[in-house]
Amino acid sequence: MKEELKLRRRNFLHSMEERGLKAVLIYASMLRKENLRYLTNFNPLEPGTLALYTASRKSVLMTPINTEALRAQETAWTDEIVSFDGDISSAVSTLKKFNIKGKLGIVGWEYVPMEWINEIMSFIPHIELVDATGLVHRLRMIKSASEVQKITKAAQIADAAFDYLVSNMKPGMREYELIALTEYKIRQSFGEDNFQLLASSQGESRAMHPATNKTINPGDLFLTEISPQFEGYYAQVCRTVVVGEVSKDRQKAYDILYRAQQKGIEEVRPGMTASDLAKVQNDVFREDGYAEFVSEKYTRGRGHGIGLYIDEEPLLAEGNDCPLEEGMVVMIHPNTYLPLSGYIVIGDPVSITKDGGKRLNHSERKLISV
Amino acid sequence: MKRGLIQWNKKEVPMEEFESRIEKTKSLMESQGVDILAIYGDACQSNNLSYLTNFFPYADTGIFVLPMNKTPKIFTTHAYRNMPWFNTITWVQDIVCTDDIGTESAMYLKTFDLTGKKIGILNTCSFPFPIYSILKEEISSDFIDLTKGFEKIRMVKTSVEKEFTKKAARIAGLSLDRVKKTYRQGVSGYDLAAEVELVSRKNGAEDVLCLIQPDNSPSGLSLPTSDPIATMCSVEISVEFQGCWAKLGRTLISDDAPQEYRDQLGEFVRSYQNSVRHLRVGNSFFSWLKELRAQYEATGLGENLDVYFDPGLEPYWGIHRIMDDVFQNDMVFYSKVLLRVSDTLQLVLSDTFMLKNSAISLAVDFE
Repeated sequence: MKEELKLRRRNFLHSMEERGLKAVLIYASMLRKENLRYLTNFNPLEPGTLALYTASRKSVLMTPINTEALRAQETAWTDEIVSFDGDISSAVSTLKKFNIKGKLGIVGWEYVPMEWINEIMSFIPHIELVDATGLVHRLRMIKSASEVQKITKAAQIADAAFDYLVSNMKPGMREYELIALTEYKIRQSFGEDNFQLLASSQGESRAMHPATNKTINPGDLFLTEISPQFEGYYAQVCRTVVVGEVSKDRQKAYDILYRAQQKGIEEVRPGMTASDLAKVQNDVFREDGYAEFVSEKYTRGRGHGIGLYIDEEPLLAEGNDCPLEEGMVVMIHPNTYLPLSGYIVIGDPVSITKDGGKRLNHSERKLISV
Repeated sequence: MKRGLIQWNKKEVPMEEFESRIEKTKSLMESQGVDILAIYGDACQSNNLSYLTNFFPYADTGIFVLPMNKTPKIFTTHAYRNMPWFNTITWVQDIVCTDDIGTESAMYLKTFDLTGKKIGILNTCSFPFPIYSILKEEISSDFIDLTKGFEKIRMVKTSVEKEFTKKAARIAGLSLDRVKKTYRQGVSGYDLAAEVELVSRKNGAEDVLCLIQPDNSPSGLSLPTSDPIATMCSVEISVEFQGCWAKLGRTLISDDAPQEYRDQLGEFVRSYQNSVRHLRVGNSFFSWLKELRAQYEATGLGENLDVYFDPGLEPYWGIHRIMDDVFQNDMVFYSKVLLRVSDTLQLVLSDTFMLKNSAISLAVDFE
């Protein structure tokens, strides 16, 4: 791990230099801590943890409380670890010690709090703040072998959680009781977290959402997206279940999705763009006469990157020219609303190798009936 | 972070409850000369937004704009496809789905005559700078931080909130009972966390956090791991029900632990119990802390005591703030006491209390 962290840091510092940044401050909120985790190997338990990297190759991790600094000493990989005890001005004093002049990049720009920026701008003169989030995102898109291994393990946990859910699912249960089943199985399998969406309806769903107290009824189409996290890395599995007999229309809708996804898995390879991968899937809908249902009104896209965050770049959508490269891991999920069925889903994590796509999980991709 | 996973239908909270919350908020705005309140929310800070709207942006973001006299609106980065779901969870009818909630909400604010008007915001310590800078750029009004006043409103619970908090505490108690049954030397932190998830979620907990100190070392409570648990461990369970949180933490001891540890734990719990009578209306955190320290000094268990106190307005992470308000009836708060007995032993007690003249522990009795 240490070698991998060294490499990440070297690549990151190189990118900083290319952008002319004198230093980069990485801000971690409770949900968005993936960039900090990627570079420091520290998983913060408190919001507002920061890491500073300077062009002079110094790094310091700043935790908001002392117990976090103690915890960080066991895992974090920075030159220095300090606690600022919830006092922003104390953290800014640490920054001042590095005498940064010129461009200071901020990673996590979209969620860095106003108080932080105001304090930095007030107390560190001659500094220009720029959004540097893209620097880390670009590095994170390409996964190492050990990262792919962790995503694969997370994918196996997702398969196990889905199997457990389906084998225990009965009409009359509430949606939230199904969450109890998946969370139980995921923790038992050493999954550290889970992000899950679902929907159950007779076909009127347009999207998935957090579970509610709705009862699962005979004839429902039940959809779920299970995203367990293992040692920091997420994988995702999207599946559709029919409660009762499968109607012709639902089977037809699912077959379209299945063929679209299969086409994506078969065609994906380095050198394509994210747009190309979306298009090969969308073309299946178009050929079947459902061209309208590939638009944003009915679907978000045909997949996305996955790793230390649930929903990473690149978004697989027509118009996104981001090139696909060996080492990327993408979710291929042509989830969409179709008039035949309502919203319907299928999705699996796929690693992009030099020879093409490799699915990282093994659960069956058929339309399930319970 | 609020992980969520469950979101309740708006019908499960009486509309009068939201009307009363809005009314109290508008009184606060009026007292501060604020005409419009803008509340930001995301997965990490959703409670203020949910408190007024029952809307939870999950992995997306949202801003609730509450004017004194005009239509309230929610701006969210969710896709429009989610609108049927929004309509089941929030009473707010005007919901705008947009990639740029900063600009869209600023445009809405500009439809008001803002001459000489003030705009209130909450949580300046976590309000995202890019959104704030758009609002500042587009609108020349003064922005006022109403966090403190808003927290005071939320600290005193309505009868509906008290019932929700009691339910959250009951779920935490049930989960701890399950942990006690499962706990034995050698099980992993994940085994215990799995039981907590199963029991809590089955009973309707919206959000759950289980922290574990597997060997009672002073490094503290942390996320579960696959490491086997020792003869003593500490577990802290935080549960949310309908936006109301309860927390319960205990040090557990297995049958084969040394008698010395048992005695120390017994002393620790007794001293804590004795101090609880000082959690009374009119007192404050600091008077309780003084009593607590006196109790522990008398036992000779040591002075390495860390005490946290929190009104439980945010998800579990708020525990590290100090609540300096004088106790009033109908307040709910968490306490967390960590006693470092030696370099290898730290004891934990955390509870959720409700004040009705004196403190009532909501989750379990002290055992």
